Amino acid sequence: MDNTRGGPGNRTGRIVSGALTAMLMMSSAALAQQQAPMLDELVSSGALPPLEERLPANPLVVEPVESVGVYGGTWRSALRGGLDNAWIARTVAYDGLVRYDREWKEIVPNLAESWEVSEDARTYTFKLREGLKWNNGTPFTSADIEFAVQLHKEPTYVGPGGFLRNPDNPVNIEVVDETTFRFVFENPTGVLMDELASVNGLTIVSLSKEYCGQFYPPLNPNASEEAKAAGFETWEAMMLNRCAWATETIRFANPDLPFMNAWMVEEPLTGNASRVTFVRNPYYWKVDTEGNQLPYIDRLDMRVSDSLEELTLMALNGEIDFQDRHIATVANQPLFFDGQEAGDYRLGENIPSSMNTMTIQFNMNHVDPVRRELFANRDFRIGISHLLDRQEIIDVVFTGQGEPFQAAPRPESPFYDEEMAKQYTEFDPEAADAAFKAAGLGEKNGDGFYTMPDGSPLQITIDTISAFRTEWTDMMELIQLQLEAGGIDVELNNIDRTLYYDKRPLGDYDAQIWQGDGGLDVIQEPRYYMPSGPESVWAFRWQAWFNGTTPDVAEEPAPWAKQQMDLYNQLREEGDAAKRDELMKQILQLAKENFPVIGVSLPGNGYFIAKNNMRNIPEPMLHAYLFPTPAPYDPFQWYFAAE
Amino acid sequence: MAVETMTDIPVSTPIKRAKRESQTALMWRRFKRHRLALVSLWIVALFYLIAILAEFLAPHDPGAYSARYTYAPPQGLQLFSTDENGGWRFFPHVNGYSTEVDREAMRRIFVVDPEIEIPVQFLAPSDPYLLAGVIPMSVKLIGVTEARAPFYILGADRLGRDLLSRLIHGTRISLSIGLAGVTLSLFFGIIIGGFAGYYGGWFDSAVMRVIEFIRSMPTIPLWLGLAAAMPKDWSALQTYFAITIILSLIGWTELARVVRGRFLSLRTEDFVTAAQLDGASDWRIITRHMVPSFMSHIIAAATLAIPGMILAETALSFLGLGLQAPIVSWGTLLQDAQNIRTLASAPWLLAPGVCVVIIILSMNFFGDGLRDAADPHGR
Amino acid sequence: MLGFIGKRLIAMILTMWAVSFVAFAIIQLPPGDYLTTYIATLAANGDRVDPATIEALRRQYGFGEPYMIQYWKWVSGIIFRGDFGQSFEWEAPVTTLIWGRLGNSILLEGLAVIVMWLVALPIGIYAAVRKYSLGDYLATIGGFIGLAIPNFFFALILMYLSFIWFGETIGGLFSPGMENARWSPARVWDFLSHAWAPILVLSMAGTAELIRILRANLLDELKKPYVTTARAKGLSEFRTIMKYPVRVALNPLVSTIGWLLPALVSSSVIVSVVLNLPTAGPLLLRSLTSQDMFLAGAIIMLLGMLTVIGTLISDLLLAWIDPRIRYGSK
Repeated sequence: MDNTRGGPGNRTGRIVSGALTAMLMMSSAALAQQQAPMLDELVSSGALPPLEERLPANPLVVEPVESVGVYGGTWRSALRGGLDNAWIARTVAYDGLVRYDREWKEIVPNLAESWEVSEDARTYTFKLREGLKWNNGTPFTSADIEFAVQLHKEPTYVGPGGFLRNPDNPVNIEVVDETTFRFVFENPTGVLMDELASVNGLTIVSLSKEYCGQFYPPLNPNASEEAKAAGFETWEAMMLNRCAWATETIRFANPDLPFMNAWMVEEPLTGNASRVTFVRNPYYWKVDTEGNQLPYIDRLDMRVSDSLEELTLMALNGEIDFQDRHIATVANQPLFFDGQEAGDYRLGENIPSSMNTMTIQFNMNHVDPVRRELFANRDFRIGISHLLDRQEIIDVVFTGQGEPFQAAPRPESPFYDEEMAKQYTEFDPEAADAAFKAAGLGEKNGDGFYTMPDGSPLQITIDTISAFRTEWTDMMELIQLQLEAGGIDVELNNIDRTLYYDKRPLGDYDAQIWQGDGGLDVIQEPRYYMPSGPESVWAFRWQAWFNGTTPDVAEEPAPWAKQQMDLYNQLREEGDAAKRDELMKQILQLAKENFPVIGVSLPGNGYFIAKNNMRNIPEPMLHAYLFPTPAPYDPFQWYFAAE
Repeated sequence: MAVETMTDIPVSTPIKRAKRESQTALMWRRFKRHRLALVSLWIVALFYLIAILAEFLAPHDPGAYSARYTYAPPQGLQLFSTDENGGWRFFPHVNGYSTEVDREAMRRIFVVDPEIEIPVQFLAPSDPYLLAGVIPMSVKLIGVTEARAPFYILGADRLGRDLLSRLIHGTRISLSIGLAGVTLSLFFGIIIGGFAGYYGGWFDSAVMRVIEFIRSMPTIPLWLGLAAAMPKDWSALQTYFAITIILSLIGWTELARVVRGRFLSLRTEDFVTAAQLDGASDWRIITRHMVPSFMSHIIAAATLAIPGMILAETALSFLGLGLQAPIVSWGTLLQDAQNIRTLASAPWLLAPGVCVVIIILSMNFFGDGLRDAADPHGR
Repeated sequence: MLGFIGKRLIAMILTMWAVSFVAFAIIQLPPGDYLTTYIATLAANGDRVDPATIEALRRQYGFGEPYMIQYWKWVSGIIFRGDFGQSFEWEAPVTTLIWGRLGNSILLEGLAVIVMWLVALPIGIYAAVRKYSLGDYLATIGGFIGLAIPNFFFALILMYLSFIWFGETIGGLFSPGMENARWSPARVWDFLSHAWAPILVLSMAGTAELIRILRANLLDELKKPYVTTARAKGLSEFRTIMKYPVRVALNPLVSTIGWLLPALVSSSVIVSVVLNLPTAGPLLLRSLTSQDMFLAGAIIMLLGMLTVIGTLISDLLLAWIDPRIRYGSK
């Protein structure tokens, strides 16, 4: 009974795996180390030092999923348009200080071989592997981490922030020696390890002091002038261009930029590129159980295409070795299923982390006081929820895949609460009528539509965005008919994503739809359970109050939401995982009672496409953003079988 | 007889006008000789009739969906039924489906079952509706008597909506839209281009610069920019009409330039000089003498402009700027069909494309015939 | 003729100025700016952006400044330094991004124009001379079908059929190894083996339109008395038709050459997306949706410039072919 799967909040953040690492070190030292044939010549010609000098003292030993592989081959996949960096993040870039294990249960060593957390959860001490090298051969040490921290403290530098820039809990770094450093926080923090293990934890290890320092005035007094000479307005602009952090698209446009990943940029991703390629990093610091340096696969070749149709045909034609992003849609599934033999590929299973195919968020902070009162009324939302014939939507749009589901943690999550997931999901127009009465709606008018409490017409405009998920158009069309049949006059407003965001601070929207984040990553992404951030569209002004980001629209939240915020603040400072989980459960309990956001259905499992000779790919895979699938399944140990 | 005639008709009697055919009648006579054009005229008329009678002709509501019949293939309409003796009788019907869900491939599999015959009724009773939004009716041209039986003559789309009904309703939107734009384009084009070409001088230069300027803007960014600047509370249809008008504000330039070119070369022609010497007003010279002399070109341009609008609508839909669901037009229907899945497993959804081709062909042939008929040099 | 050219040149410069102004207005038209888009993307990924940082960025990009000042900064950069500004999304100067794609656009669309004329000219003349013959009907029907199929749809069908029939995925302009190679016979061949599909799609509608207009114009001309006179004088049929009527029939067409390019660019935006062509179109579309304004502005501006130059050329051609226009426009 594996009910802890994917519950990031459930794992202990303080695994000190020194013993484990020591054991692996011994085993790796005992075996003769090998490298890819493509590197042999470079070594014998002297262009590259021998393998022993390239690997760290204790390389990370990776247990292959099925078997030890063979070297060679090119993994072909595709990006949609030139700025689709997410696929690169999901294949190449996931190598932080620590990483998630393949079950998404525990945090395991990566660049750091061990770490320690102080009793008060304010000091985190990391020990890097000794002898790690960037792909250009220069050492990777504590100084690089210090550089990243220092850079992000520059007020004029626009970085991703994260814990480095959190104004509520400033952090300092203390370098002990080349491989040891400490993060010291002003306040206790309980969520650092999760941030470091997720895709958001890559910034800190993505900047080589030696290379990037040349663009930084404190390290190079001429940096500003040089930036101007190179055509940039400021040194910051040049830094962003030449030395982009983490998974920024332009990071892959500069082949000189040092990497710590299994593959490094070969043909860069420029604005004109119609493909981007990566080649193995000869200094990669992981080996398999027989001591062979990873990765097995020589190259990654990503087609850059704006055409979904082209990508679909490429996959059908067997020109894609592994991919799920963009092409693996519900509509395409029969197509890909039929094409398996001809295309010599197979379909594998993905379990989404998302808990819903669509969430409907009524704006409880509407600028119009009458609407605000209506949308903030729980009975009104209950009525709406009862009017949705979820099974019909599931049958029509998702060919029967999935089940009715509210905005609630997924069944796989330790936070799963059946009552929360299933309340008000039954299609029941009578219950809806009763709920609308309780909400104080006026009688139905001549058109059969409910009216406002004062008898004026009630029309609700739901903002939709068809470009983001094609199913949403279909779902909204059905939902509109269902709600209208139940007496709620609904207008759909299909708008661009930017407009979506622009409207939020203005507060004059009735409702917006979005996807079901936070199904497995409940603690990290509680946007539908409490007003946690700007994506909590249902209570944008409350979250503004909570986060202090846009004080001009901030409003004091309702008591229950304030209680959630208090609990979440406690959670963030709690060092003990079990206590964090307990706090989260209290937050969810409040969400269940107040029912802020309406969900539709639990998404069915997704799928990926993999060539038949591609091995060591586990199945099924959990699919999430923070756990950047398939990277946690170690693509560097995937290989092409010789047949 | 000759003497009689001489005496019967006074010299002052005007020539009998009745003997001369009117311009229109002349055109019609010449037009009829152009077979293809005549056929096209009927096709265009038929399509417009369909557009007007959409509610009566469409068996279903265009938005009515059915979970059980997503991607159901066309049933076809059969008028006769055969019995086991090989005899046949008049019995309009469609065949039922047997369906199953293929869980592994995630799709429904349909097999048209010739054993199941679902009777089809002409002038079938239906829920009351308003024909063209005015005439209350409660009968449809065609329908099935069993309420829950599948009835998809042309097949169903991904939500199990009847393609035929959607096509019929789409015809109304697609054909009506753009007419306003074309009319506007024509109006501006002839007036502005005509005056520029006739008067020349600074007015001509100014008009030409404006035209040149408008023409040098690529349309896609203009559409994108304008679509984004449109008031947010407009309905999709309002937005689209607004965009159509904007399109025609760009569209007039082409016509104006052509008209101007014609004017420039015509105004030195003898018949214009003659009219000027005769003391005819400029307005009269332009409208009575010059415009008719290149009417053919204007008609050719106008007939081309209507299909151009229809195609522009599909292009806009593709970019997500045109009409949007739940409004049904050929453009939105075609947009739904623009993917490999449809091409591979539901090719009947390409039917709107066939409609587009047919109407555009017909309008072009029709315009062509008109052009030849209106041609003053035509024989 | 020199005076005519001079006047047209001055007018062209004025038009360019107006084009730049409107190009800038268009990219400013949508609400919000690149930063709102950028912040939205970051927020969707769970990142929080410090308001102070946003303010700093806004200043850095000059978003807060009055319209005219922003415009002047942009235009003066282009005129005096050839600097089209920065692309926000790519964090790079616009000039490094556009030339390659613009080159592909010009190459592809230029080839499409040539194909159009090569195909349309003989067919159009034939259809007019042999009016209502079988060949005329075939040409007309074929042409109209070409006109009637939305070209992005045609592109999609072409892609699918090529996959079904030949097991090939057509898309892009070069094979993997050839993308960054230098021009050589092998690369030209590789280019042609990819480019046939987009050229076919792009030229289809235009060809149909050319045939149609050419036929209509030529029919008008053929009925004129001077043609009869020429025939009566015993001129060979070929010379009779080619020497005057075809030339006269061509002149309204010549006046459209300048407009072919922007029309092609606009229509090819969608085709390029379907067929994944590395042209200016998809870059423009993308930059417009993400409000990467200087990139979008530069592309609109350059396309506008192309058209203005195209119009100039077609005006000069027209004046050369038909002297009435030259003298008439005084």
